[in-house]
Amino acid sequence: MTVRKNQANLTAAEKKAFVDAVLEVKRIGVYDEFVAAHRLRFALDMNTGVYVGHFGPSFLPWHRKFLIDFENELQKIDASVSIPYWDWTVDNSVASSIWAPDLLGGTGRPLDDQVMDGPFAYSGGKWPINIQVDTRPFLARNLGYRVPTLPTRAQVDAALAIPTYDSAPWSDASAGFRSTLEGTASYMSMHNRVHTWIWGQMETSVSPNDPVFWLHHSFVDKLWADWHALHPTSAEYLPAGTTPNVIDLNDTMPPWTNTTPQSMLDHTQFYTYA
Amino acid sequence: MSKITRRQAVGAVTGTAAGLALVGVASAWADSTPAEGGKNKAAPPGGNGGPVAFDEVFQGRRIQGEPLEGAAAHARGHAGHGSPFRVLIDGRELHVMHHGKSGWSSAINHYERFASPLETARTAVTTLKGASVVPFNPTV
Repeated sequence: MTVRKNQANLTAAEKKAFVDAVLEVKRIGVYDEFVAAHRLRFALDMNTGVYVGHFGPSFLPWHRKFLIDFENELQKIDASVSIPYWDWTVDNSVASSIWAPDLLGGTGRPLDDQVMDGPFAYSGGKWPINIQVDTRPFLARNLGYRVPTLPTRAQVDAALAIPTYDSAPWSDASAGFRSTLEGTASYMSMHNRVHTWIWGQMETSVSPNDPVFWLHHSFVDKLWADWHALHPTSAEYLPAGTTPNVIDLNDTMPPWTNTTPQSMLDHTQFYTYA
Repeated sequence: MSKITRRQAVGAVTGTAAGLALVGVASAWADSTPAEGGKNKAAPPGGNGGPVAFDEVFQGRRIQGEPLEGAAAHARGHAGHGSPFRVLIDGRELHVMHHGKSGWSSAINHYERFASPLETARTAVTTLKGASVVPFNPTV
């Protein structure tokens, strides 16, 4: 059974196993398929008016499935590996160990935001940026540049206290737990703010180019599970049905042909959080 | 034309909600230099028109924006979320999207919202630090 752990608690051997599996998935070309899928989803959502991956209720189940698929690819390389989660309310500075050279490497250099240390530095030769929205061939970050702070535990707790999953108009203008956690109810907040705090590719539609994407979304996914535990009588997903241009509970979420929000509700059939 | 600061320009075209979203933007501008030789006009206060065209050099990059009309807009199949507006950075298209009252975003700054295509283009220039846009729009 897959157990996702807090990245701050990983042993040196666990960190190395995760990094090595990510590098191997990249080397064989599979990693970039995930980056391309994210870029395509973003562009299609924007132009079709059906918000599947972001800015709508299916933000959480869509990313849950996206992480499960990626975790499966990692486990083909090393069955012991899972996606760690990054609690950015605690490990909330440039000095946090997640940015050390034995895990993700640190912030970028001033000239061009290029990450210069760790396993994903361009100079290491193992992490070219192939799926792009700009010409930067290297992983880029500028931690804390655009917004100085990450979301706080108090802000997370306030989101967790909201009893309703989501509400009409089921978009970035909605009230409820989903939009609050995603950060669309107040831009530059929560999930969105973390992307922006990291900067570089994490600010763009090719954000999975930065491996921190998976650790960030693992924590977001954990918060959805935590929210459900706090509100066992609340509908774990809304809307239930017959909502035009919105992914309802039993609608298929593209690009998958057999995945609905309903099929993603019980994460414990796939993994648990430690 | 009279000189106008970017913050004033934003204020002229934003409603309350969008203004709130721009808090982070304003702080990021604090240490940047004013636009060079801009010839942009803010939308008239209270006006109901869409965003206006622009063509300026910002931090050494030429940024242009224009509303798409007629067949060009129709061809993009906008269903209420896309934008009938085209933005170029040094001649290469920056895919921008309009999200109703919450504002604009682009492929380069996807997790933020901006008051106008002009601010979206300027922020992309700041983000790129000299890199160029790689246009990507699978629905065109």
